[in-house]
Amino acid sequence: MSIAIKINNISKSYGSYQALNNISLEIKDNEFFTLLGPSGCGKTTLLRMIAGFETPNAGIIQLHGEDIQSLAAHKRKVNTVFQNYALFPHMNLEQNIAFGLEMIGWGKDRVAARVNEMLNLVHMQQFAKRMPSALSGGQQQRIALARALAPEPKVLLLDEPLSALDLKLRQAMRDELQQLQRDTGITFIFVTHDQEEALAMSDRICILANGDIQQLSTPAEIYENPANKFVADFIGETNFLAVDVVKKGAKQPLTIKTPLGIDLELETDSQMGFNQLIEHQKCHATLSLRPEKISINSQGLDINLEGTIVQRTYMGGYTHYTVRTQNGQNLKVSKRNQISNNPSYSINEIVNIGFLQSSVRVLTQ
Amino acid sequence: MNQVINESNQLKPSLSMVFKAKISWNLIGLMPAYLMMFLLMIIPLGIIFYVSIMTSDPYGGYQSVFSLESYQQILFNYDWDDNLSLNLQYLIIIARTLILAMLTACICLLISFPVAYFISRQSNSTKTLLLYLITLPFWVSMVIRVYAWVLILSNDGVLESSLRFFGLVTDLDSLLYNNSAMLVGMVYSYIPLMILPIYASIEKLDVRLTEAASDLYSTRFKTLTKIILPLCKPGIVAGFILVFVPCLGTVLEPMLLGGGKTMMLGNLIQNQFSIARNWSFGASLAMVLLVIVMLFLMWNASKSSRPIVEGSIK
Repeated sequence: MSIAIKINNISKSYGSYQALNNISLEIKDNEFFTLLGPSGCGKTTLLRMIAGFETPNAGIIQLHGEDIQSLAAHKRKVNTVFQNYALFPHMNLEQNIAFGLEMIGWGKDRVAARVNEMLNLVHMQQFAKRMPSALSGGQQQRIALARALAPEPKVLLLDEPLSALDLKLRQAMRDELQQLQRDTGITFIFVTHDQEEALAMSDRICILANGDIQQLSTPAEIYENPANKFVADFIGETNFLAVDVVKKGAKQPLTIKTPLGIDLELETDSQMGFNQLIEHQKCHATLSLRPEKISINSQGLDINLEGTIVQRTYMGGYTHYTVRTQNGQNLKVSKRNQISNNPSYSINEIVNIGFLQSSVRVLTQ
Repeated sequence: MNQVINESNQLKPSLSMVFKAKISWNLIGLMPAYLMMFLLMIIPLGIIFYVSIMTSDPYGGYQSVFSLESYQQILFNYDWDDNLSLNLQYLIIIARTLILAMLTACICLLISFPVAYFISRQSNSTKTLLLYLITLPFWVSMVIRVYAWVLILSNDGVLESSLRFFGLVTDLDSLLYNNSAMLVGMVYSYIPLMILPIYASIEKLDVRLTEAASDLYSTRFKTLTKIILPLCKPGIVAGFILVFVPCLGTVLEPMLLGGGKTMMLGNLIQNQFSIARNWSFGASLAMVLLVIVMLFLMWNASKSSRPIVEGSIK
C-alpha cells in the first residue's frame, strides 16, 4: 500500500512552547488514521500543517511523495472538515457544496451533478436550498462533510468534527463516517480527544502528548499493549500499581514484586526496558491491569486474591466495583451484566478476585 | 397560616386586572420615548415645512401667507419681463452636493475597509489602542479640525511648503478653495463613521470561514470577494449611510475649504437663514434635502429587504 502522507521530523514551537517535537509518521493510502491526544498535545497543529494553515519550524510534509511545504493552502489537494463546520452563512447548502468545485473551475453542469451526488451521499437532497442557519448540528456536520468531499480530495482532514454533537448523534455519525470512508476510499485523518471515538473508528491511532508521539498502532494493540503509563491511563480505565522488578539470577525470569503481596513473573517478551538490570538489582516500574481483566469469584485463573467490596457503581451494561485487597490496595473491577450469570455483590461482601498473569502489563515510564 | 392563604386569594383578581390593563400600561411606559420623538423630531420638522409653504419676510422670518413660491424658486427665476425661466443654479448645487457626498462615501469605503480589516487582525490591546486613535478626532471640535486643513492646504501651508522643500513642485495653483479641498476635508471628517461599523462587521467574521475558503481552493482575492465582502455587507452599508447622509448637509467644509465660492446644499440653506434672510426658501431647500435623504434610505432599505442571514457559526 502506498503512502498518502509522509511527515518527516516536523517541529513547531510558539515562543518557548514546543507544540510539536520532531514528529515523524507515515499515513497509508485509504487509511482511517486518528491523531488522538489531550487538548494542547499538538494534534490540531499537525492537522493544520497538512492543510497548509500553519508552517512548521522544521521538517518535511509529503503528499503522495510530493513535497507540499511550499504550496499555499488553496493549492493542496486536501480538504478539511472544521470543528464547527465553518459553513458559509450567506450561501445555501448547494452553494456551499459547489464552492470548492467552482474554485477549481468545473463547468456548471458538472458542478450541479456533483453537488447532487454529494447531497445524496449525505442524505440531504431535500434541503438543497436551505441556509446553514436553518440546520441542526448533525445536518450541518453532514453538509460540511459533503462540501469537503465534493472536490475529490486525496486526503480528508477532520478536526474534531463530532465534538459539538450530542452523544446519540455522535455515535450515529461515527458509523456514518466509517461507512463513508470505506465507500469513497479516501484517506481520512481524524483528530479527536475522545479515546472512545478513536478506538471505534480508526485503522491506526497515533497518540500525541506534549508534542511527542506516545504510541502509533492499531486500536487493539494500543489498548492491550500500551507503550507507557500515559497511554495506559489515557486509553480506557486501568489499575496502576507501583511495583519493583527484581533480577534474582542470571538465567531466571524477572520477578515483579507487587503491593498485593504476591510476586509475578515477567514474560520474556516484555523485558526490553529491564535489560540493563544486573543480578540482585531492582528497578521501580508501574503495573497496569485493566478492570475487565479481573473477575470476581471465578475459577481457573492464575492469580487469586481475597478482598472486600468497598464501592459499587451500576452502569447498566456494566457494574464497576472497587475491591480492597487484604494489603489495603484498591482495585477497580468491571463486570459485565449478562443475563445468564448475573450475581451482584454488595458492599462489604468478601469476594475472591482473580486474573491471568498474561493480562498484566509492566510499564517502565 | 389561614390568613396567608386568604391574602393570596385576594391578590389573584387584582393581578389579573393588571394583566388586562397591560396594553395601556405599555403605552404609558413608552410615553417618554413617544414624547421625545414628537417634541424633538415631528414638531421641528412640522415648523420647517410650515415655514417653507409661507411667504418670506424681506426683513427675516416669514409672513403667514400661503405660497409655494419658495419651491418654485428652486427651479425657476423671474426674468426682467416677469416671465418664469429655468434657473439651473440651485440644481447644480444639489447635483454637486450629491456627487461630492457620493465620492466622499466611496473614498471613505476604499480607505476604511483595509484599515478596519487590519485593526481586526491585531491583538486585543492593539485593537483597543487603534480604535481609540480613530475616535480621537471626535474629542476636538469639528471647526478646529477643518481649520487645520485650511492651514495644511493654504498657500505656503504645510503641504505646499514641504512639497516645495523637496523640490517636487515649483509653482502651484492654490490647493485650497476648490472641490478637491472640500472632498479632502469631508473624507477626513467622516471617515471614522465608516471605519467603525465596518470594523464591527469584520470583527464578527469567523476566521475559520476564510480558512475554509482557502481550503476549498479559493485564492485570496476570491475569498475577499466571495466570502469576506458579502459577509461584511451590513457594516459597509451602515458605514456608507453614516458618511453619505451627513455629507449631504455638511456646512463647515464648503464654508472653510470651499471658501464660500463653491456652494453645497448645507451652506446654501444656512445662507438663506442668515445672510439672504429668505427663511421660506431655506426651509424649502431643507425639505428637498430631507426628501433626497429619505429616497436614498428607502432605496437602500428595499435593496437589503432580503433578510441578511445571520452567521450560524458560533
